Amino acid sequence: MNAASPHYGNYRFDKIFPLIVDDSAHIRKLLKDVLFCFGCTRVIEASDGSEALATLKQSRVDVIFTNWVMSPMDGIEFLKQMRNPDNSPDPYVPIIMISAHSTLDHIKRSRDAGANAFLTKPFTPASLARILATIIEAPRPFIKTKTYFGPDRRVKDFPQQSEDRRVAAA
Amino acid sequence: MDQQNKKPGKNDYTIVIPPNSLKAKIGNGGVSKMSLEMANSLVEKYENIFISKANIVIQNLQKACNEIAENPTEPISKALRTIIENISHELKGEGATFGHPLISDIAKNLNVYLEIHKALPLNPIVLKAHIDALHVIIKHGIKSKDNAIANELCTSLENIVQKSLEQII
Repeated sequence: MNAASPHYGNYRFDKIFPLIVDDSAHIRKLLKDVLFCFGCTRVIEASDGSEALATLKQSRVDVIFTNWVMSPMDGIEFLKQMRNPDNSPDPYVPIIMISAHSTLDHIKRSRDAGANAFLTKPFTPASLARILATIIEAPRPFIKTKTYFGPDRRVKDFPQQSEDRRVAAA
Repeated sequence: MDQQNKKPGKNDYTIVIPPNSLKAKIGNGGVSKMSLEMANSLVEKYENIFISKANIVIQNLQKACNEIAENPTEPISKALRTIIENISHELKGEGATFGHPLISDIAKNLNVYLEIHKALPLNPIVLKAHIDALHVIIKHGIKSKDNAIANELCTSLENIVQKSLEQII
């Protein structure tokens, strides 16, 4: 299957358990409902990184979608905690950073904190599907150095989805 | 879990290939076209809900602004400041997500102003300029900066914030 094409068949979303971390209840609901449309039947939510870490001590999840700007713990700090192999509840879990800040600097910071992929707001269901297909079909190995633990950063095309913003000029 | 290629020396690193448990559970294929179509129509509904919600939130911002204007000599309470900051943060984050990046841009500019004036009084005229701009773009359905009116509005708001910064310096 071409990882870039989500229009193929039938992933069993009912078999996976995603976690959504976002301080906006409205955005959590949107993302949850999109995942339900894809076939998910169970989704857990947290309103910031610290709540997510507490949740992950109790439940194991298969993929995490995290916002960047949240308080008290933002998405980058949450990523760093998750990619700390000594303390993380699951250091290898795929994590997708979702943010309206889509500059190269933001994408690099997110990658360097250990994100598997970067999804730019506003996202479309198709861009979400493509990002998911990429991390499912072409996962990167993890690299452990003295200063970094996370998916291999030596990739030309860090998985990111930003070109198909929904909104055209009014 | 496979561990490979431990390279001794200064740049020690280990490559770990974790099992692809996501793939093992989800299987082969992709997201079906039907699921995507369902999700797309859902997102459109959310855009409409967002605009209704944004109108209410902007009304609350207006109330907060009026309260400041009516009591010009009194310092702004922490609670009132928090209300304004939360509204601004909410609009900034959600606008772009729900297909209205211009709302996010204006809220972002307001955020800059609030950040600069964290320990200073807030000028209701500056707040009102942002509120009026939000009303205008929602009323006329202007969604992004690719529009002459939008561009003009954003530039003038940026100038207002810049001017307030110069006054502090």
